[in-house]
Amino acid sequence: MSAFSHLETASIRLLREAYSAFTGLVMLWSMGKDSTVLLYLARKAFLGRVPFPVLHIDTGFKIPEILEWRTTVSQELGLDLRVVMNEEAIRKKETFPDSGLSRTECCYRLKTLGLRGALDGTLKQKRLNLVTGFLEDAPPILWDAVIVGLRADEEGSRSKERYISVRGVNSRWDVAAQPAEFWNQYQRKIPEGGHVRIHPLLDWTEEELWGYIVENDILVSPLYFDGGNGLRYRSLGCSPCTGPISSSAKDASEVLEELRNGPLKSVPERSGRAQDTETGGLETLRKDGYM
Amino acid sequence: MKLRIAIAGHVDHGKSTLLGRLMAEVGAVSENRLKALPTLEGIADYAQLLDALQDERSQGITIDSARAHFRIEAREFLFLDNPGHLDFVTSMVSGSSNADAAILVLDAVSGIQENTRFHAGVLKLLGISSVALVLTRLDLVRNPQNLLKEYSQEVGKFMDIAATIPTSAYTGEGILHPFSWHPGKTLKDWLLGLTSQKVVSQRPLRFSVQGVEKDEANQRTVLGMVEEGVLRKGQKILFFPSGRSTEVATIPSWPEKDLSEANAVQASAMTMSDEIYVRRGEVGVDPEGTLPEISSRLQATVFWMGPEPLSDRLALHFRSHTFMSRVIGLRILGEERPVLSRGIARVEISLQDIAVLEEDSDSFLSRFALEMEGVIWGGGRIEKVFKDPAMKTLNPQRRALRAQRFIPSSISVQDKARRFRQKCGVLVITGARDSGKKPLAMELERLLFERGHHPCFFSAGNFLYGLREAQSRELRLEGEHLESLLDFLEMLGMSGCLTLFTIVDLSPFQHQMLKRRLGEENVLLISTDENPGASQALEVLQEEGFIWS
Repeated sequence: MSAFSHLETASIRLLREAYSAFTGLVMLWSMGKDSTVLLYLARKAFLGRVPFPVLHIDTGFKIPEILEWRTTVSQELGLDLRVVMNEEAIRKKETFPDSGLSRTECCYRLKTLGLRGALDGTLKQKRLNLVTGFLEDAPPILWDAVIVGLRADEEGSRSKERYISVRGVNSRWDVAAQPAEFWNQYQRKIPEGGHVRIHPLLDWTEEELWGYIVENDILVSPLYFDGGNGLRYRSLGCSPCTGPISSSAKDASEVLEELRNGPLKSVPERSGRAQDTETGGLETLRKDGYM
Repeated sequence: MKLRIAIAGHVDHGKSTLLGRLMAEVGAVSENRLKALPTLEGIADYAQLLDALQDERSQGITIDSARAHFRIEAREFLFLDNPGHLDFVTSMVSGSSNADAAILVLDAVSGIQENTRFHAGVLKLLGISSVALVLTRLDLVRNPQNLLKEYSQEVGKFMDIAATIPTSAYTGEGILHPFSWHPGKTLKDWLLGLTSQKVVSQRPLRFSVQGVEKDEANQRTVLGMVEEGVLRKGQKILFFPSGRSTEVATIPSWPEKDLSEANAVQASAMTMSDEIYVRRGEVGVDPEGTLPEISSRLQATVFWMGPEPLSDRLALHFRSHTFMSRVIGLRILGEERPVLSRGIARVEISLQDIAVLEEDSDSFLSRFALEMEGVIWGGGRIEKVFKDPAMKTLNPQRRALRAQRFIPSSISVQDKARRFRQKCGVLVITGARDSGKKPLAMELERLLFERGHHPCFFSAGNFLYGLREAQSRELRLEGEHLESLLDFLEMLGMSGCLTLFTIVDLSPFQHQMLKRRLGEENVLLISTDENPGASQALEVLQEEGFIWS
């Protein structure tokens, strides 16, 4: 038995329960380590295949290497990869730092509205052609149940999420009126005009996640490791708002060691994400539907 | 293994402050973060370490459970800080439900309050056996020793206390270091002495079915969880409540190869040696081990948090593992008040479908949730399972015995059906009392007979007052009586009759049992509420393929 058996089993149970309860189910994949572990858990839950589409909310500002990696992995795993982008906001340059918008406002447009537009089908959906590796226009699928790889230990408002959280109209999150869930019984009802979010990684810590990556040899984006310049990313966001940290960790086990006993021991994971430091930034964003 | 500790208690009794101070004392909070905490009356407001939301900070209360992962010495803990306000009890239950142990916080100054009792009751129902009573603000009271004894006795009346620990989040006493007047266990001592108690592999096998997947080769794989016991390759497995059995052909796994066995901390799957029909909500058990009960009626203690008082007027569903059924009857026991708005009560519940249940409170089959329109509002623990007819009907051993002992007629049912141009099934004529069921049945019987069919009229009253010699008008078709009636209707079918059976207001449960016993296709329902004539009924029989010319 591994040290992660309990966490792994609970996550798989939740994935299967969500698959049986919700027909409009999709999994968000940002190519970050958390959602990449989710992909692995989904394959483990369904014996090798991912039985639902995988959605990337593309902000157009992702670090370029990530997009190449997205194609490679999708082809290897045979994913039904869908990509949605808030092209209008990008075209009008309603983004940070171009138009004087704050980082938070930029996140709201590209990610919150990106997800909202993906769920209600108002934004164009693209689908990866696994043979050619190109994105093609695809008829939109409407989703009302979204698997998200967030963890409670990332920051305060996330620690208040449920395994299956409810979002109302315009993705509003009413923290004070969350449904009860216990004994593996979760909310089945999708609120009118809203959706549910499934959080299989809620109880995992950053350290446990890296431990699991090491134990199972899970392939994560190479940006998490030092490629020789003494820099690596701890958390992957958009390029204007995510900075690398100084670190010489070259693989997952070195990252894990750094978290356990190294200089990162008491530094919050999202410290490289600039939008979190704007006043009330993340909490306000999250109440409006940010992941 | 990481221990999960839930923190409960009345609002404003200092739960978040206690946990915040514990985090600070054991070094789980960085210096910078501690320095940044605002102060209240000169000391850091430790509660803000947990109350992360603006609403919580401005109101000074926790509104939703927060999780805090940290180590005490080398042990790993996950603390779940829960709101104490009654309005947020759903959060408290969610946060506490899978804890290994709990801390019930009690403010020594304000004493036992409504939620002290309610939370204690819920913790017990949630099955958390190790609960410490932690008294806070003991620096503010005179005679702390006496108070400690008093509260311990009082709370002990409604909860089993694993330890009573005096603390002060203000001075820090009782958390790492004891009060000078109380050399007993500190909070840290108690936490470090806990063990994870859930050993389920020694119990009999219970494999809960989550779903069945088909691959390209049409090979079916049952996805599920080994909730208790161990699932072994090659073993016999019996699915309840259907009673179908097979052998475990393989235990597939990914990315590893097949497993030889699986336990409760492995996501499981199995393929079967026979292609039997298995579906979500069933439980696979070892036919030679202890069997669970199957029934649709039970007595339980429930906690209710719904927007409306608990009553039989609510459209409730019963949910246990992956099983779900409509609740068709609910009666609150003992209380003078017939309804329960928020709190704990003993109830009797009848289900539309047959559930797999256990009285043993260690089993996951002894607990359930109550939902209304897809939202969970309550839960409970089974105290008693009423062994209703479902048990016998579905008992595979009994069925096998009957098949072995029963001597069939030399003319098959199929031959009789062909001769009489009819299904040897049951037409149920039901409706309110005195709504014309029997006149309709009699007239229809005559019409069928004249057309050369072989009808047979039989009323529920004939059965109750004739065959069973019932003494009382109150007698109802349930339990043993229902079981015997099903036997009797089955016999009539075997003898070649198309039975016209009249009954006052057939219940959904009775209907279900009829269909289950005689086969769905052999039961047809006509209601006298729409006042049909005999010739109309005849047309229905023809349309539904119960008679032909």
